[in-house]
Amino acid sequence: MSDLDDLSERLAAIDVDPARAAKIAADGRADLARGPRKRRYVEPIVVALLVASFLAWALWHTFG
Amino acid sequence: MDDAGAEPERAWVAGLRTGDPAAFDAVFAAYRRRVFGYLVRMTRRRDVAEDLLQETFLRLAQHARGLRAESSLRGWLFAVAHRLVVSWSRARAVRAQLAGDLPAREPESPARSPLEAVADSQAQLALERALGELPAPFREVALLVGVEGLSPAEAAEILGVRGDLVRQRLARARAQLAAALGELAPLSWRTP
Repeated sequence: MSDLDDLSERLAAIDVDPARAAKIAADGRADLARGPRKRRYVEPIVVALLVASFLAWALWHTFG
Repeated sequence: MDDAGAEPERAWVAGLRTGDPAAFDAVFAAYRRRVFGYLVRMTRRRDVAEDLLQETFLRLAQHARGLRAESSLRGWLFAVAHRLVVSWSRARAVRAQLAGDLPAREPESPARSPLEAVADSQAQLALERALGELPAPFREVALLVGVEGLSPAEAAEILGVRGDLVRQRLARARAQLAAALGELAPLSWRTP
């Protein structure tokens, strides 16, 4: 590939502020240790409960 | 990713999947400058780039256990960074529209970008300016392919566009950079 293949060598190196980098790394490690958030399961459970309630109500209303 | 780079990457993915903080540190050390460089050059703002870098790596931490064993971390990180840049650009355009001041194209915030501040030669300065003047879609493929060394097919997957569109944008980016840089452009860029 000849298109711009040496662009990286021609650009200045830039890095994030060291204090900010340390904070991002610490936050990332903490999140990784915490594992998947339980909050992500709350919404599907609430939706499932609402749908099940509606179906139960509809069945009861139709055949009850 | 070449074979030499694939091996540690597989070990990092394995570590991330088990929640190993050392794996996260290794990935952060390996990719933070690369992702940050991409974000700064796309947003032209250091503060925004730092926020988006943080969000990129926090998403990695949050989704680490769900990574596939064969996942490409480079592809994963740049795909997230790309989506964050798109969201930021849209939010910025909406804010500008609400303020009745819609910019004609992708905004270039400060008169002097953070990249120009770190350029240590006239050639670098000219290149950073020329890159900053490229329309965002052209700049993005120039960064992903020209700087990150992704293939057009990999870049296309990250951007969610066709491979031939990436090649087309790349050719236009090269032509525009060559035109902007004039004699400072390497000969290979000036050759059609």
